[in-house]
Amino acid sequence: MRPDDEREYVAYVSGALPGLRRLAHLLCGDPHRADDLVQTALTRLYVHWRRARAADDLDRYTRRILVRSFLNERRLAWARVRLTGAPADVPHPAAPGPPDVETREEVRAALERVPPRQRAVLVLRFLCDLPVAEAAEVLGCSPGTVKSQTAHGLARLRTLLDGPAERGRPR
Amino acid sequence: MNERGPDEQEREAARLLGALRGFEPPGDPSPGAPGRAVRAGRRRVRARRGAAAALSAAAVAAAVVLPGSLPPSGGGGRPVTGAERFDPSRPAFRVGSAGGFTPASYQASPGVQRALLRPEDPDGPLRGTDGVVEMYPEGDLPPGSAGKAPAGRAAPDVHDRRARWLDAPVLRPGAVEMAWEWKPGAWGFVSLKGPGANRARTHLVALGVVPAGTPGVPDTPPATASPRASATPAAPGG
Repeated sequence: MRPDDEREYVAYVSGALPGLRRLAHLLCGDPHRADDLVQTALTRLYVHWRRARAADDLDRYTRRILVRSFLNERRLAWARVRLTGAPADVPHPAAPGPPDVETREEVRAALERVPPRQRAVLVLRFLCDLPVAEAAEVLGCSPGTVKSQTAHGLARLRTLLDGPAERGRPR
Repeated sequence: MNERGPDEQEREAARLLGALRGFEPPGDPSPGAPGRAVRAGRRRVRARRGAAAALSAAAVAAAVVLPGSLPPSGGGGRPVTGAERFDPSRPAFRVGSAGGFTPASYQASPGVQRALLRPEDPDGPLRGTDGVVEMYPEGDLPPGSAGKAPAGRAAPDVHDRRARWLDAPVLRPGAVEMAWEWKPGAWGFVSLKGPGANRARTHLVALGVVPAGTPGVPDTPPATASPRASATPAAPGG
């Protein structure tokens, strides 16, 4: 990479870093893994910087790298997916009232138990406020798939947070 | 599952995920992160260039020194690959017992990882049927595929990855075969051949293939000599 390109890359990454960290933490839950994920994504962005810079929306391109890195990593870690699910992992129903630290941790713990692709859809749509079409573009799937994954992800989250017998209970 | 409209989904998402809105990760962004990424990126770019150059040099050397060893033109030789290769010193995958089959041997090489399967019960209904699993790195494909990515009717996903039934087998003529994209651009293949071969068993065998190091799956037999991708797998017998 030419020095000018490299300076441009560093300037962009420095500005984008807080947003990428937030997205990675929401996807991973574990702060160490999240920081590793960000580093992986930034390295890939460096390698593909010329193509990235030519993209219509550099932020979206970068988010796509990060989300796909997350999904790829999860795919190759099937064991972790398979071994979760002990009863102790299930969070207790969150208490009503404004979000506090405890509630936030409960929701995070529940979100972590949603399958990775559904989790990515929920995070992109409802915590990064991306429209369906943009979430589909980031994930490399159709808008219809995003909608169905949204429905499945919300159902899973509802079961985890409300419990199967308490669906629809206002919190 | 209940179908919910977009507005209801929004409300439900706000209720369930509202506590995470405004979430900020703990700690400050590491100021060294961009610099580390630049250094890692430079290494990655250098490695890719080096691998491409080495591959080109090897191809030229092979063409000059071993002209007879190259596949015949138009015969479906393996496409030129990217830098990604398997570590030949150890299996990259574990193949579990599934669909009535169990691994008989495992061959590890940089360009293909191959497991030969035999029936779990040699005297059972799968007698005379055998299987082959071949896993390829990104950019590589079996010689029988003529360099084309697997095409065919959609098969059930394998570990959440898209899969295809192969109407024209690429590993062994007359076999029931499926392929799945175990990671982007990289394909795995299962081939079952014999009286007990069918699609349901083929899919089960594919589901039994997991990355090495995955607990809960019995070890495959020790890796044997590296296979050549163009070699026709020998039936494991049984």
